[in-house]
Amino acid sequence: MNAAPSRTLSVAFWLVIAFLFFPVLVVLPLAVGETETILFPPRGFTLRWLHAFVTEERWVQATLLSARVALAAAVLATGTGLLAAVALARHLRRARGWLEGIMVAPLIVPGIVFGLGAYILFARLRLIESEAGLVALHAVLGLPYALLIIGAGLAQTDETLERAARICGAGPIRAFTAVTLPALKGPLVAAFLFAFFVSFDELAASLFVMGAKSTLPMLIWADLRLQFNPVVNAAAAVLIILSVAGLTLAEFLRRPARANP
Amino acid sequence: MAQDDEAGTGVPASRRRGNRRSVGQPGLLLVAPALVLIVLFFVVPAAQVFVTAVWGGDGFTLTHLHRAVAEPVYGRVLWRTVEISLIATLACLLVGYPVAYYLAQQPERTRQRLLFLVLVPFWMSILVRSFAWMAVLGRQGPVNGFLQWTGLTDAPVQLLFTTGAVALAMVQILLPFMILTCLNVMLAIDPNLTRAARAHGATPLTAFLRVFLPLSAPGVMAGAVLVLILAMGFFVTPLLLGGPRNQMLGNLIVTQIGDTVNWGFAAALALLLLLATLVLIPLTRLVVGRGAGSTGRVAP
Repeated sequence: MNAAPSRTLSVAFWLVIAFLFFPVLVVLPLAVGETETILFPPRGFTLRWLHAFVTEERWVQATLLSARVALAAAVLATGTGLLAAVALARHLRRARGWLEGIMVAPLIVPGIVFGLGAYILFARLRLIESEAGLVALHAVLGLPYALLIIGAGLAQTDETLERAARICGAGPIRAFTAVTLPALKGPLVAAFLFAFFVSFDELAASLFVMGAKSTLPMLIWADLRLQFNPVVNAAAAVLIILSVAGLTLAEFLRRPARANP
Repeated sequence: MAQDDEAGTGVPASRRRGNRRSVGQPGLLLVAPALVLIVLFFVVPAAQVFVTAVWGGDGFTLTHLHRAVAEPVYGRVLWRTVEISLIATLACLLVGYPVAYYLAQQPERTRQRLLFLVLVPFWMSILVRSFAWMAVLGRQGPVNGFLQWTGLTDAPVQLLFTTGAVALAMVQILLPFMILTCLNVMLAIDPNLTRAARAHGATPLTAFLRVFLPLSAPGVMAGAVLVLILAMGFFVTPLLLGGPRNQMLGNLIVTQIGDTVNWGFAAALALLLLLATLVLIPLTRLVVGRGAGSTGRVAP
């Protein structure tokens, strides 16, 4: 290996990392700045905006709605994702290609097109402002991540152990839950966390189908579009910290460390 | 990913499993919930867009599509969308490829740790990151602060509400997609191939250009296509950072639904967005060049 090019590459790499983090690091301190505009570096120190975020009715309602939807969507995505991953890995190997293709497709369709389709469908079915409807939409967006992460975890497990359990008299379900499932704990929690944050941060579909009931991103969006409100700074900081914490946990739990998320 | 046979017996698992029950059924039963979810809440909504775009009150119609293409206002937005998306894709390519290459050269454990740094911003909300760029590029932001402090300018420079601002933020948001997709393909390249080229007297540069680069082209292609598709659909970033002259197709769609409630036209715009992307994909192939025959796997 030549030293000079690899040193240049290393510098380039860290510059790119700095570029990726820079805006986030700028926005965090704004949450505790005293000015009511977006001013950097912020002046003074106040917890007023954070306090407003956790006490004002509209922010609390929006956060609770987002959390509720994300929780349900993550459960749905992880559950269906687990079953599908088992089916693809152990049973439907021949159809695996196109089945996986369909289920991963939401990753490569622009959110705005998906949101519009969902809106038209929901308007026709009178599902507008339906929380259950939004949960299903968000579960669809989380499913690809759940499927890929659990699938990767499943590929690391030893199928012969499960077969041994079968030979020792366990039924197929018991053999799976007693032998394979415990080994999948990490990937399952990781899948759940990824699906949770996909939903918690989702804007396009929510914006179209939720009408007057605002999720947290919808509220931030509305305040940024209409009249800037410094509580947005606090909300953004909370979202950043939550997703960093959740992701760190998820990455840590995703045992079979893979290159793709 | 090849069909793996974990037990290594060479016998498909379906056949190894007992003969007591029919083999396909548990698989179908297990995949059914996910499939139903995807079909009802993804395939059907996507189909709704196509149908609504060309199906009016009295049957098949091209009025919406015609209007979307013919009216100069929309043509300009389409052109702007293509322009910004191509700039962002190209920039992601130029920046992302070396980063992926650097990561691919690292030992496994170091790579995992460095990759985490790429993933953290990747998982932050696009809305929050676009907003963060508002703070960075604003008149009272750190960039303007720095420029004035160094004496390069006396008054704040207009950075926000420019095409550059939109493209910059989009690159920051989309870069991890490019890095991850390229890296995936790079890791599958046998390092012995470059080593063999070196052993036969190729300089490191020649070995890279003649062996590694062509082999990694499918990853570049997949990454560029993915980034382009996602870029074309942006609406949050152009609205917050672009100002009126840099609105993209996505913004038009939001307006059509939010203000005028014109489903047919909104769907036609969405269809136009997808069609434009399809037209642009071969162009990406052209830029990426030879060796990019297969698109590889679009890994997230």
